[in-house]
Amino acid sequence: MIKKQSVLSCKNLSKSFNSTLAVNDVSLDLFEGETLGVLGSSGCGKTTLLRLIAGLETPDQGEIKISNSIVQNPQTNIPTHKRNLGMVFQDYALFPHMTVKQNILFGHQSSNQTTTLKHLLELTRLNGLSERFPNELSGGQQQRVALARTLASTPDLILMDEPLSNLDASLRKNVRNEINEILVSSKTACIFVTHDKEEAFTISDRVAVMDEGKIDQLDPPDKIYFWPETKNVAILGGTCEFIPGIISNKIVSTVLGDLPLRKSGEFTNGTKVSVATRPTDFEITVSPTGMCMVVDKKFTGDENIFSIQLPTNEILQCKHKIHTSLFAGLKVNLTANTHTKFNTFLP
Amino acid sequence: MKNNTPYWVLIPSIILTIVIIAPLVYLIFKSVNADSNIWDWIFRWQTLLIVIRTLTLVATVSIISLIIALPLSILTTKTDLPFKFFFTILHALPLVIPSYVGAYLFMTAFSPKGLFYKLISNYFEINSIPNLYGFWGAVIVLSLLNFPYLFLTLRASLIRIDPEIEESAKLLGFNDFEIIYKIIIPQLKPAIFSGILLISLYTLSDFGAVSLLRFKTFTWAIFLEYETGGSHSAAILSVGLFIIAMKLIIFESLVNRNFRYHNIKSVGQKTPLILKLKKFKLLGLLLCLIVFSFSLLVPISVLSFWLIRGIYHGEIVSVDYLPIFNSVYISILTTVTVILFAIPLSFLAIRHKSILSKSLERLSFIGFALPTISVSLGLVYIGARIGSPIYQSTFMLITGCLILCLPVALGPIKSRLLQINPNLEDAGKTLGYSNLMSTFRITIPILRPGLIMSSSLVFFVTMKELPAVLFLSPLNFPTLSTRIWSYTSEAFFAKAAVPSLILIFCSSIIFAIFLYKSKLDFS
Repeated sequence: MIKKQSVLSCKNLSKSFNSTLAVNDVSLDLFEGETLGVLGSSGCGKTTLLRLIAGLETPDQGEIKISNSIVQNPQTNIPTHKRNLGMVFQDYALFPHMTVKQNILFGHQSSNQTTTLKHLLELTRLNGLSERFPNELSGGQQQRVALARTLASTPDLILMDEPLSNLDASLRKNVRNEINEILVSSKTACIFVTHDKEEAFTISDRVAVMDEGKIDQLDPPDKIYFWPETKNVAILGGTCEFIPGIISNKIVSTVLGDLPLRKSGEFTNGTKVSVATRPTDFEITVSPTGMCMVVDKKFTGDENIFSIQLPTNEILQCKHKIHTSLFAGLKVNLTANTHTKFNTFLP
Repeated sequence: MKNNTPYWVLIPSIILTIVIIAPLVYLIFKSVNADSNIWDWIFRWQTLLIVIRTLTLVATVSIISLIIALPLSILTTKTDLPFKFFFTILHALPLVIPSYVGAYLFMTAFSPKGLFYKLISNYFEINSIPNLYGFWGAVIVLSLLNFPYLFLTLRASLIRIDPEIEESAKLLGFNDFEIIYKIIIPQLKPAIFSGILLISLYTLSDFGAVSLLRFKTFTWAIFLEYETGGSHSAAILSVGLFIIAMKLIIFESLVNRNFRYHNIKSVGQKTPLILKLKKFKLLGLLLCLIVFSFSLLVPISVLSFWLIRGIYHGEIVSVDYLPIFNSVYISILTTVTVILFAIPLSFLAIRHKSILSKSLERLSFIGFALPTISVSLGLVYIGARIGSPIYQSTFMLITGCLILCLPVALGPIKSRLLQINPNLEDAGKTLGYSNLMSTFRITIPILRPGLIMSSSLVFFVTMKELPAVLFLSPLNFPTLSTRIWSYTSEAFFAKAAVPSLILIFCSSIIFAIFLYKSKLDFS
């Protein structure tokens, strides 16, 4: 395997605002053509991290390298406009007094403007809109103009700050796929900040899960989902509920029986742990002698989710087939699906 | 944020703050160093009388303006009064008449043997009509010319009242008049207080009307002291005037602090509730017409009379172009200077908030409370101290106008800047433009409507400015305002007509641009 060129390297970045630590000792690397999703709830410091990389904020400590040259350390602070990176803002930040064309070409300094414009309009499917003003465009179109404007300056790295959060749900999926295609075809490295796990998972090659200014885990999406290193990563990676259990060898004993462990040997036998469960982990079978009870049913169209009360009174969310006669009050049993393995954490 | 404030923002702001504070500091310095016999002279009945006169004038003008403006603003926004748009413009228009022009026109119309007397003495047996010089003359002129400030403030607030509140009151069984009393007027309280503050400050610092109508308030007393060489006593009186102005501002902010957050909700496309006037429609129309007659029709008729008479009797032979040129010259210079300083100051206040910027803003706020006459006097003394080339130079006059126009200019620029997303400049930076270039290529062009509005306001205020020009202008530098004032004080009434007409005409054009621009605002 050829070793890929590093586009961005952050070491031990920290930044605080009035004694609150927004970014706390963050280190990460990004390689060419790679898309890194930064996933975290609001206020976890992900936007600040982007602004530090962009040079819009100055870190209290740490080092940033872009394309292997230092742009930020205690001695150097290369200003934003010399870092050769692009940023797509949450509110797009299109210049209201310029047309689509003027917006797109604003940061494009070379002579072949017409070719670039034509190429970008095609890439972002904005043909025929180049003379419009931003307020004459739909949300999705504005979003694509912002992206085209960023691509026009041929940055080494694109930073995206929740670029989909201002779009309505029906549009979000389409735009997400478009962004994905555009990024793949332009081969530009990208950091994509979001609070939506689905967005992070579908768009990113790797995902960094952030909480309280720290990166908890940085791994490919499936690893984040199946191998969460902390309770918080498990929660941010998907719907997750916890039941108590006790470790014994390669299994954990719970009220739902003995469940296989994902990582054996992590805890000594007899350790009391929290077992993370996902809605897809269990099979529901109706039984008059069942220990559990259906308490609620949520039909969302694509799926049926049942709330099941365990003998210990905890309630788990479980997915079940669409055509079902289950109803609230019914006694059932929960059995772990074959192949499913469980992650455990200290309670 | 730790962001460094750029030098183009910081340096002009610091210079400006020094310029604003300097006259006051100098006046205080001069007052403190005054001889004890001057202080004895200050502590006597006459001074107390000046204070009482000034405060009575301010209070009376405020109350009368409120009595005029409150019903008119409600009538033109919340009722089915005919010609609402038309009356709105008519009631805003008295603003284009400077107070000394108003005083000139009223005193020639309503003096004991004036035009009005001549008009009615043909039909009635009377010797003279009551004297309108002094207190009541000043009250009438200042109320009729200043009420539009309150009218416009109230209107702006009335338009923003959420119609749903009125509709719920209606559903709760209130009738239209109860809605006005119990729902609309209570919501207007903050606007009433800030409008009255505006009028009080204008009345307090008015020089033109009180000097022509011979009512000795602070401003005229200061002028007289200055004319007769009492520089220390003039300084002390100026500081006194400043303290009163400051107290008014503090009082307003204390009263309005409790309300300020109520009217934040903006109303989009909702249709406002229209109250049916029914049988009171005629009364409403009559009220509008009376106010229009006295605030506009009478002044304009009297002006036309003097103009025609002047031409007829050969008193007006030709138009003197020098004062026109001087007024326009000063106004253009002031406008450019004010805008060049107002942009950095607005950026400091909105984009670069820090302890430094806050304290600079506070300090310059003190400067805004300074009445024109105090500013001018402070500058004159500083100028005299430095001597040539500063003393009695255009530079000095522009500095004076800068201090007095800055608050006017800051409003539209600041509110426009607040609407501009700071991310736009960050986007410019990520697209390869330096901080300064991003500001000039992105923010400044979007700021343009605010800049146009500020410029027209500054031009308008400078054109009609009187005391600053009297104190600070170079020797033999007649402007339209000083010409009108000196002709009127020397009773050359016909001669004052032409410059007055030109001034009102110029102001009207600027005013029209202002009205037009404030509606067509791209966002």
